[in-house]
Amino acid sequence: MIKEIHQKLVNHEVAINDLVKDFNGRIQKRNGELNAYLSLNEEISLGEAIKKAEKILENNPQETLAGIPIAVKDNILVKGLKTTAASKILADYTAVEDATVISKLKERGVIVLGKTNLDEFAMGSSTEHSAFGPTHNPYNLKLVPGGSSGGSAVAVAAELAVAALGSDTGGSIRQPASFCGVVGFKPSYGAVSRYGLLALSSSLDQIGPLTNNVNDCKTIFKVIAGKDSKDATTVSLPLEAPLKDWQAIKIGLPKEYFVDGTDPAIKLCLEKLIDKLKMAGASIEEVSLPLTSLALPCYYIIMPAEASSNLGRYDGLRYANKNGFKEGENILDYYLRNKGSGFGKESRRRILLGTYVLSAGYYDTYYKKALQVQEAIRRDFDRVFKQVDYLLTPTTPTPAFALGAKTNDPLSMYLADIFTVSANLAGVPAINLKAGFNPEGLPLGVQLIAGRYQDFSLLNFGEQVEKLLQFQ
Amino acid sequence: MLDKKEINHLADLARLSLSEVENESLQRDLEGILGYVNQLAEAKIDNLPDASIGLSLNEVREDGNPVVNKDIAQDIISQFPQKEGRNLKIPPVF
Repeated sequence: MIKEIHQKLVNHEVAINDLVKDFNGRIQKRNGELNAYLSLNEEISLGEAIKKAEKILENNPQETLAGIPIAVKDNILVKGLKTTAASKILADYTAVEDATVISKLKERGVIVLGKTNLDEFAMGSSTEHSAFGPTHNPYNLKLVPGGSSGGSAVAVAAELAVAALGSDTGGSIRQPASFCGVVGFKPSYGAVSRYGLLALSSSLDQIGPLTNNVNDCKTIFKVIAGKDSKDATTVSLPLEAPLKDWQAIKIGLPKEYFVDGTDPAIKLCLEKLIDKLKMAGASIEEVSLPLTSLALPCYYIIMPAEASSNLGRYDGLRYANKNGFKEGENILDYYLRNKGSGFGKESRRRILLGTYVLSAGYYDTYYKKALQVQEAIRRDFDRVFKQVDYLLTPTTPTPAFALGAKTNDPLSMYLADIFTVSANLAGVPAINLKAGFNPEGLPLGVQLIAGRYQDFSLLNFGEQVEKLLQFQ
Repeated sequence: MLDKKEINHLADLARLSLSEVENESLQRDLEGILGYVNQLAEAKIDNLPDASIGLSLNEVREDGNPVVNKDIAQDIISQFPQKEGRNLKIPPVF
């Protein structure tokens, strides 16, 4: 889609101005019922962005991204726009600078249409934990879009942006991508700078693209990836290597991901795809990731621990807090009056969970052991990628569920992440591909995983698999 | 597993204030969640490796002038909930 739009712009079939007007028109029409966007870029700055994009395109007609309108998850800083993390505590906060990924994209002439809805501080799997209302699945408004990057997934699915940026800590790009029928890519940990991403779980978070196809994902990823002096955890990825021939490709099916409980329509998608992969010449073999059943408990120890630490900074003192500021008698009283009230229920739950697993007496039992299990999981993935090139798994156990279905049972919500969290724990790249629809017309997705830093290899292979999936 | 007192203790550590109702609801929620993550605490795994700092690489830079962009300072200061001059104003810590 990006390449086609770019061609039309270069051929003057369409002007960047009209393109942006087109998307804004659809946003006006549909955002009311979808609630994908929390805020929109204003006329003036859009105008400036368009002028800049036109200049870039004039000077360099090869610049594929010039003039392309995107949506950005509201936990990523875009200068001059509010960055709320869908939380009351930051409702008034205006970003003072661009996140690294945003600077990089703006340099290429990308146009930010607005900021999209998410579960508060990216904690959730349905976008229902936003302080500004849930986002609705465009395929059925009564269903969730998934989360936490629900707004971004819907922006792409409902054609309210050409592409979007999201963040993925335990599945927050891939799961909503699966529920909304778009491509969603979580890079290797360290591949993309987190500078300007409001930190949730610093050892797991990654920014990634949500797009209509894998090629668009690759186009955006090429620009946002790279070592950044402002993020010490970033790495330079190995250069792209040519894709192996089908005959040389080995795909692993981790047996622990193919157990009962997965929706039959998703299972059927996978079976059909496996047949097609075999016909194309790839070899398929069963592999084992024996610690899979501990991945989710491991995640729900490490992530809340890191989140409770990261969210400590939102004390109502440092960032904008114009509406809710309450005087206190002393510093502790001040904190008690101001800190908690901005956070929603799920955020408070996770902060307390994190506090518990880090507290004296419990640290060794939970957090320290979870870190050990995480290392063991990393080694399992390293071992498996010596046997095979890629893993194929479901992305989610079910298609999109109903709004309100899981909000009373936090644990059942957490279980939605069961197939996605391992990739975050192991720091490996993973992508959701569009795999068709179920009998009710709801999107289905499948997940491909590759070894650490094999992001380009995964994207290239993903493009090939996408072709096979198109005829399902 | 967690009683009212323990939840209040955690809330204190996290500097959050909880209502009675929320305390009760959290007792239920956290009991369920901790029950689930306990599998990890109780799992007997052979040859469990040491916790690793993962893939962290040592990244250092030269000292030198850390101020890269002076304009940002004004944008930050203008959003302080309470200020005095160019300083962030906070309640006394002691």
